[in-house]
Amino acid sequence: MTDNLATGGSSDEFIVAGRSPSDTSHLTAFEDALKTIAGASIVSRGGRPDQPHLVVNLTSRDAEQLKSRFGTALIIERNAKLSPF
Amino acid sequence: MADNNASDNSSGKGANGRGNAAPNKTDAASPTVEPTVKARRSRFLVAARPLPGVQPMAVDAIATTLNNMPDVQIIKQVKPSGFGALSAGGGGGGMPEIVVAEMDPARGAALRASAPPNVIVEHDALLRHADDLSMAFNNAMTMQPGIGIDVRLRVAGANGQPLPKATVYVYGLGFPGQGVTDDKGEVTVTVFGGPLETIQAIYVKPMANYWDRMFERPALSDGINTLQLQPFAATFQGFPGAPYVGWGQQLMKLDQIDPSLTGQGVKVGIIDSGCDSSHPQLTHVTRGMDFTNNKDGASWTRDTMSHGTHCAGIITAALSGQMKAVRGFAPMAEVHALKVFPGGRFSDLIDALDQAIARGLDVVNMSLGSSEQSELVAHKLIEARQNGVACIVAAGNASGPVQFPGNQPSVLTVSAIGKLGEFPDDSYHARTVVPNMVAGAMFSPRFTCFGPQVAVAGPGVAILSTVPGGGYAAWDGTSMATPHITGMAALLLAHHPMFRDAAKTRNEQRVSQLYQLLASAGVRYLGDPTREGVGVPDLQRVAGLSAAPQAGNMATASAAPSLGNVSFGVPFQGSPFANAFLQPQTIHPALLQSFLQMRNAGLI
Repeated sequence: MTDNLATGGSSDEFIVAGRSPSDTSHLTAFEDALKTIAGASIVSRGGRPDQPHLVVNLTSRDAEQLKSRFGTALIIERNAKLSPF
Repeated sequence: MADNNASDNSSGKGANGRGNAAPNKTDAASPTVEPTVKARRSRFLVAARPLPGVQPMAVDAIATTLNNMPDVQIIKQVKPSGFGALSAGGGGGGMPEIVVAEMDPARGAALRASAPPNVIVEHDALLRHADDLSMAFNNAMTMQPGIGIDVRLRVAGANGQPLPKATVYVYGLGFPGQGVTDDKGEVTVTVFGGPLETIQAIYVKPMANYWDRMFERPALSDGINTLQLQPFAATFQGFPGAPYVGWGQQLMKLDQIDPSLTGQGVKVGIIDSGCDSSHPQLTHVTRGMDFTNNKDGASWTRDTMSHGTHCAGIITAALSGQMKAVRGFAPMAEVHALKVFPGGRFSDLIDALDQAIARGLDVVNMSLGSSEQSELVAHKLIEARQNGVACIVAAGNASGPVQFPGNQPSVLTVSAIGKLGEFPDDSYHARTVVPNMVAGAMFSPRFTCFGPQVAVAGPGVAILSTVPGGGYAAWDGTSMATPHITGMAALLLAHHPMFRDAAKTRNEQRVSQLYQLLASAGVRYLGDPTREGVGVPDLQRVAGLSAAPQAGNMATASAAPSLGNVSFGVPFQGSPFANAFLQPQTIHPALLQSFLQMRNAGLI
């Protein structure tokens, strides 16, 4: 993947975790894929040791492409802001 | 002329000096400062309407009538000319002579409503140049061209003392201007779009200890304009030193249960903006974590938004020395402040819920949400419930469908309800009232989200609670409604026999029983389940709690209580919800359980 900020729009935070939390291999593969995307970065690693998740910076276009590739094994969703009510 | 002196026109309707917004008469003699800002008078045009077969009213008769009204001032009489037959209702008389008069907008509206058919009364509206018409077509707030106007304001208390750190919003024709008062209580707010006469309203939100106030159509000068606010002490006698039970806590009968029921032994989480534990009524809150600061164990006490501290006061405020202004539901509960604001995202919420599970919290208050959905958060909420963590969640303030995560079946979702007479008429709280959503003294505020996911309602308008710095503020929101339910949940978990001994095990069954017990105590006021669920839980309706006060759940278990019955209040006569209202009745516990299961499953 060769997307970048200029062609994929502004980046946003996404949260990524395995659909089967115990299987972390897909998350590792996701990290490898992320390294090939210009402008993409890992913001933080979170979750319990048995339920790890990544918070990453991506463009929406890159996120969609990664979803099509990893969507059956990983949940990739916007790390939306919360509001106090 | 209407006087916008707070001591004159900002009283509530109730007469109970304890729990409502009626001014405290003992303070009536205290010195007051005449505010310089009055309601701006409006100009109206009054003229005879030519009608076929009807004698037009003579302009002299109109002028005499208006002159006899002490609150109306005639500015001038205008005699149109040159229109002739082209004028409306043309013919021999031409355009009738017009009387231009100034009066209070309400007086003008009344004149217009009562005018005979042969008299025209209309607002002498301000003309705008053609460019301004674009707003009417695109219905968007656009920045008006032109030079900014500085509005100089001073916010003062009842005795004229300056009120620093008050947030002031000035609404003109364009975007509202905003500022915060300095140590002198002064602020200059720049607005664009027109002269001072175009200012539509000024809203002042004090830092603490005063009612907020909305000044509509303020008459402003180029100099400093003083805006006066009403202190809580003028409403609640002895505030903040005298014991006070908020109207919401009264509605839920917190003041009528045994004082020994304090929530001791229960762990409560508040996922919010932190908690200022230096507040005299919150010094017992000693546990927390800051997810906005690398899970720091100390910075959760810095609550820059005040939101979490306000929620904490409703749940757990304890009497402390001379500070007794808020009675929390569970002052001896073990409270954990899990800070995710400002800046919180789904990932922070997941971390906070993980922490709630790890700490073995019994109940978690979530006065938060998002317009977006999260599968990961939804999974985490299910996991929390399976681990015995009851998540009480606000429905949202978007006036629409319940927002995420309140729309999840794993949580207990809370809408807001308000009560008339518990706030000044000129406060912003009064703006939350929708006339066709009032039932008796209760109302469904305009902001509350609604839908089949709403399980219960909580008091959520003009809720007085703690804010950082040792003060108090009255706020609105489903955020304020939710901690009422969380607080009651803590009391039930601590003191209800259902949760003793083996039932203390934190698991999904215990959460389900808690939700059922809360629902069983519901009193419906509106008759619309999408806006109030089964109603507002009433502590006195919980069998086994009020009848035999317990010292805590370490006591010997007694016979398991029944789930109780859902009860329904008596509706206001003529309530718009009357058709949907369920007559006073009881529901068999098995039916109730099926109903709740179907609701939780999202089937109803």
